[in-house]
This record gives sequence, structure tokens and C-alpha cells, in this order.
Amino acid sequence: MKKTTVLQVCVAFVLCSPQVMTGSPVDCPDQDTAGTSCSISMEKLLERAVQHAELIYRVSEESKLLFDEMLISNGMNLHIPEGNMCAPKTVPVPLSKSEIQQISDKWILHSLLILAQFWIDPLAEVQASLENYENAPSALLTRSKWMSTKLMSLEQGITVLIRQILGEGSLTLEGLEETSDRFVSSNILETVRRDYSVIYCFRKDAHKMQTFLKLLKCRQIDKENCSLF
Amino acid sequence: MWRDAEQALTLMWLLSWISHSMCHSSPGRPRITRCRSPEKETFTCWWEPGSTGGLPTSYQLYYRKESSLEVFECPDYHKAGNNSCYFDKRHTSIWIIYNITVVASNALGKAYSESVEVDVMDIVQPHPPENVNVTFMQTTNSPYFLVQWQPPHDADTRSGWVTIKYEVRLKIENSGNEEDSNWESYSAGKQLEFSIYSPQPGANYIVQVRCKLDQGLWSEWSPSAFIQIPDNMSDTQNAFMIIAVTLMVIIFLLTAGVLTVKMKPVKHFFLPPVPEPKISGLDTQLLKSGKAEDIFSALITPGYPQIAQRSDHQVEYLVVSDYDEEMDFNGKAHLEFQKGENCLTDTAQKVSQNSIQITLNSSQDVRTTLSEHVYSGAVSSQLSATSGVLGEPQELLPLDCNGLPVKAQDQNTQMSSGSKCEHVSINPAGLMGYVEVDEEKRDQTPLVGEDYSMVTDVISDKILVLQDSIPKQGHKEVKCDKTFKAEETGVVFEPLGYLETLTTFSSGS
Repeated sequence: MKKTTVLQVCVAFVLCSPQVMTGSPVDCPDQDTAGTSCSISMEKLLERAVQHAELIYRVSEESKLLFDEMLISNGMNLHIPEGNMCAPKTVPVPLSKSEIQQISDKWILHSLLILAQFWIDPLAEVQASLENYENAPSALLTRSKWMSTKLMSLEQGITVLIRQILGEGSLTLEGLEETSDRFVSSNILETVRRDYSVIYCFRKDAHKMQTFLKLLKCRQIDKENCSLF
Repeated sequence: MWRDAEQALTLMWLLSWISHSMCHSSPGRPRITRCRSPEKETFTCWWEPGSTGGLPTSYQLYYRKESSLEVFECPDYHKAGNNSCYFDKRHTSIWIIYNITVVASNALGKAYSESVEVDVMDIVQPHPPENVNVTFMQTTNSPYFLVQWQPPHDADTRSGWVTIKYEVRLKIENSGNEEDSNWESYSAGKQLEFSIYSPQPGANYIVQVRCKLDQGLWSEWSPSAFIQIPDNMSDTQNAFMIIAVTLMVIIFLLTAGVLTVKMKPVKHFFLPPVPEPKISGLDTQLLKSGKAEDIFSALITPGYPQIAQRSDHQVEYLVVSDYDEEMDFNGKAHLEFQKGENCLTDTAQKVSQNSIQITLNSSQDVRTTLSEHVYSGAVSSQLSATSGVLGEPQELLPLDCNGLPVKAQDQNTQMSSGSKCEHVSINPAGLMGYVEVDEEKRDQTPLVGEDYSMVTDVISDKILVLQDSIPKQGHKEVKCDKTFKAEETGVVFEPLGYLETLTTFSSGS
């Protein structure tokens, strides 16, 4: 009996120890968060956020292509003037690498949060609207559904990052969203145009989020190699 | 003639003047061919001019940014060559749409190209990787060659601004053949080197690398790198392989031969045969050969009476007594061994017909003395005293050699299965008694050796119930497949093999 118990203990130890070795190093930062559980390390958080954003961008790109194909196959030659399609955000977003490198982490994080929060509702609307199309490809439907869910989790991640890096509480969107987006048009062309513009502009903003996060990750983790401001 | 010459001259002059004036026109529309950004920080646009209209034409490029109406002109016309416009870092904004137009103008007019809308994030195509080189690594068992390269010098891969991905392709150079062999492509991720294993010896390889930023366009293939694989490495390997294969074939054939010749012992070695159930001391071979002596000598001490042998020893004993046929059967207990269902009906009839019961002298005064003889060294069973027997039903389980109760079914199976249908019916009606077995009585000479007519009952394989004064009775065995008639005079019973008899007495009356 003794032998077996010893063996069991050893096996249990062996099984448990890799978890201990590769377990996430937890940070228990400050006393403000007393009562809440320890959070995941920032490297892992940033890593996950970057992967999320990259994946969201890739799926949004595919969605746009699928939408283009659908338009072409339906014979809708929508020449959508791309120039002024995407509504400008109330808060200006840096637009070049040099600009981005000059702004602070705080600014990057706030921009990220604004972008993420902005797109949750329009994506949900587009997804509902796409279901009413006659021959929308199912791949497009699944992708739009996927994007809205993943965007919500990305937003949560950004909130956690803000709390960890900046130590702030939760941030509410101060800029007013134009709620005039919620129009239901009986005109099919208008609806299609609106849906296309949502997908098109979301793709662009997804690329922005991805880029911001990658820069942020480099700055936080690998300070020597990243070109700083 | 003069006139003709003059006319010709004027005609020619007119024509040249006309043609001269016709060539001059406003320029044709230029066309913007492409715009590219090599690192997502700057970009360049190229256009192709339309017809010049015969006059010197100048080109300007104007652009507008997405939401503003202000028009700007190209910041640098020269850096990227002719008919190009280079936007440096200060003038490049990502994620906004540039609306670009090229204007060709000469003395006679202007021509506007079609406007092109450009977003920098969509036009990213990097320069090819640099310094591609290939080296051959000769390790003994697995030679390979290693491809190494550098990222394009203007891509900022370190800060995370762009994520770069590489792709390697190679093919064997067939200088002799006319047809082209195909390229093999391998994705190399973010690493800066790549190993290619198992190259063809003696072949010339051409290797190229290209890269991509984020989701942009693939770059051009880098300049080729060449490598020649030396020839000599294959021979020893081939010889080794051939020898190994032939050895294995020989070994295989040998084992097959050995197996076929010595099948049984090998088979027994790997799959030992399952032993059949046996009674210790009893050899089935002896049984079959039919020598009772040997059989019993194993079981019992020698001296056991010789019995006429039968090969199958189904011994069930019917203890029967003569009864009228009107006897009500219901009051009697039957114990019926049945082997095989087809005996059911038969046995019922037979029982009714042949019900003979042995009644021992049922007067209460007479006690039949029965002697029992025990012939065994092992039997130590003691039957209960006779006093308890008379008038009382008793239950006796059959006893095997060691005095342990044995179930009836097992006994049947133990016996050699000669007859298909055994029916043993025991109808206890009268009083039966048996005699105490005393160990001391062993010394008595066995009665049974000579005269089996004395045996009235067999209780176990060692115990024969003898009757001193026997009214004429008959034993009868009922067997489905054997018709056996009881003889009036004598007692005939089946020779004893191992005898189990299940006797169950229950009072039915």
C-alpha cells in the first residue's frame, strides 16, 4: 500500500508541476483592487489582444471581399464613392506612423477603446440586416456574426489593459455617437449601401486597432528594440 | 514644267504646314498605372502619359485627402523616376483616402486623368528580401542546405508596425531538358533562414525568396541563388540499404520455414493449450481404452471389485419399487434427470409404466439391516442413523468421494456422454433405510465382489446399499435410448463408474 500511495503522490506531483511551471504568472498589483482576483500578466494580455485584433482584421477583409462578390453576382454595380464613406470619429485618430509614435500609451489605449466601442452596435445591425438578404452567402453571415462577438471580447480586453497599464477605472465613451445610423430604409439600394459602408469602414478601423495594439505591445514589452518617440 | 514644279512645291509646303499644325494639339489623357507603398510609411504613384500632342507637355499630380477639399500638389516628382510622384513620410497618412489626379498640360490645353482613390493600407508591397544565400551542410546521415536572407532594408519589422512573412521557392536547374521543372514553394514564417532536407545529389538548385507585409501584396522574387549538390553521398547509403533489405528478406524466409516445419511446438510455445477439465487421478485416455482397473486404481485403493466395463458410465440409479399403476403419482416426489428435451414425454410415460418401487420391508418391526461397504480411503461420510430415517423424509444429497455434496447436474456432465437422454426417476414411496457406515467395517470382505444381486442402492460411488433379505425386486433403469427390462430374478444395474445418485425424499402423502 505504501508503495502505491507514494506512486500516486509522485504521479500527482508530476501532473501538477507542468501547470505550475507554465502557469500564468499573476500580478496582484495594488490595494485598490483588493477583493478582486489577480489578473493575468500584461505580456499575455497584450499578446492575446494583438492576436484578436489581427484575426478580426483578417475576417473583416474576407467579409468585404465576400460582399463585393455578392454585389457583383447580383449585378449591382454600386459605385460607392469611397471618399467620404466612413464617418469621421469625434476624436481624431493619429494617421501616420510618426504621429503614432509620438503619442503616449494612454492616448493609444483611449483611441482603441473608442474604436472598439464605436463599432459594436453597427456590426450588430449589419448582421441583422444581412439575414434579410435573399442570397447572401452563408460565409458572410457567419463572419459578421463572428466579428461582432469577437469585437466585444476585444473591447473587454482593452478595458482590462487600460486598468492595468493606466490604472484607470472603466472608461465611458464621451464622444457622442451619431445615432442617426439607425435608419431602416425600405430602399434596398440604400440598405445595401449602408451595409457595405459599415463593412468597408470597419475593416479600416480593424486595421487601425491591430496596428495600435502591435505598437503598444512592442512598447510595453520590448522597450529597447522599438523605436521610441 | 515650271508650273508643275511650283505646284508640287506649294503642295508639299502646304502638306507639311498642315501636318505640322495638325500634330499640335492638346495632350491626351494620362493614366495612373499604379501606386505602391513599400513599407506602409511612404508611397509612390506612377502614371503613363497619353499622346503629347506634339508639344512639350508637363505633368502635375494633384491630390485631395479624404474629407477635405483642399488640393495639394505632389511633393516629389523625381525621386522615383520619370512620371512618378513620391510621397514621403510627412505627407503620407494611412487610413485615409487619397484622391489623386494627374494633369497633362501643354501650350494648347490640358488633359485630366481619371481620378484614383488610394488608401495606403491597401497598396502595400514590400521590396524583395536581400542577401539571399545558400550553403550546403553536409552531415553524415541527413544532408541539407540552408537558405538565409535579410529583410528589405526599409521595412520596420522591429517595432511591430508591420508583420513580415517570407516564402521560399526552389527548383532544379535542368540545363539539358527543354521543359521547365516546377517550382516548389515553402512558407517560412517570420524566420530569416530555412533548411531544405534530402536534396537530390548532383543537382543544381535555384532558390528565391519573397516577402509580404501584413495582408498586403507579395513582393517580387529576390535574385536567384544557386547551389550545386555534390554527388558522392548516395552510393554508400544505397549499398547499405540493399544489404539491409536482403538480410531482412533472408531472415523472414528462415523464420517462415522454421515455422512451417515446427508448427505445433511453436504454436504451443506461444499459445499454450488450455487444459481440459480433469479429475485428478483420472485419465480420460484410460477411460476410452476401457480398463476399469486402471481407472479405479487411480481413484481408489486397489481391490475394488472388477466390474464389467462399459465405455460410458452413465450411472444413475433408479431406486424403484413395484407399484400398481393406479398409484397416484402426485404424491410422490420425482427427481428427474433429464438430458435433452425429447425425453420429457417419454419419461412421463415410462415412469408411469415402469414404476416399480422398492419397498423395503415396511413393517416397523423389521429393520432391514443393510450393510454398507465402504470402499475407499477417502470416504468418511457417515450416514445418519437409521432411526431418523423411517417415516421421515430425508434429504440426501449425493456425495462424492470426499463427502462433499455435489449437485446432480454436475455429475451428469462428468459422466461420459454416451446416452443422450438420461432419465432417472426416483420415487420414494416406502421406507428406505441405510446403515451407518463404520470405519471398522472396512475390514469385512467385500460382498459385492461376487454377488451384485445384493445391492439395493447406491448412494455414492463408494457406498452400495446391500440388502440381506430381498424380496424379489427389480431395479430398473429408465433410459430413453436404451430399453432395459428389469429382470425378475436378478438385479441388473449398470456397472459403476463413478456413481452419483441423487436421492430426494420427500413425503408426498
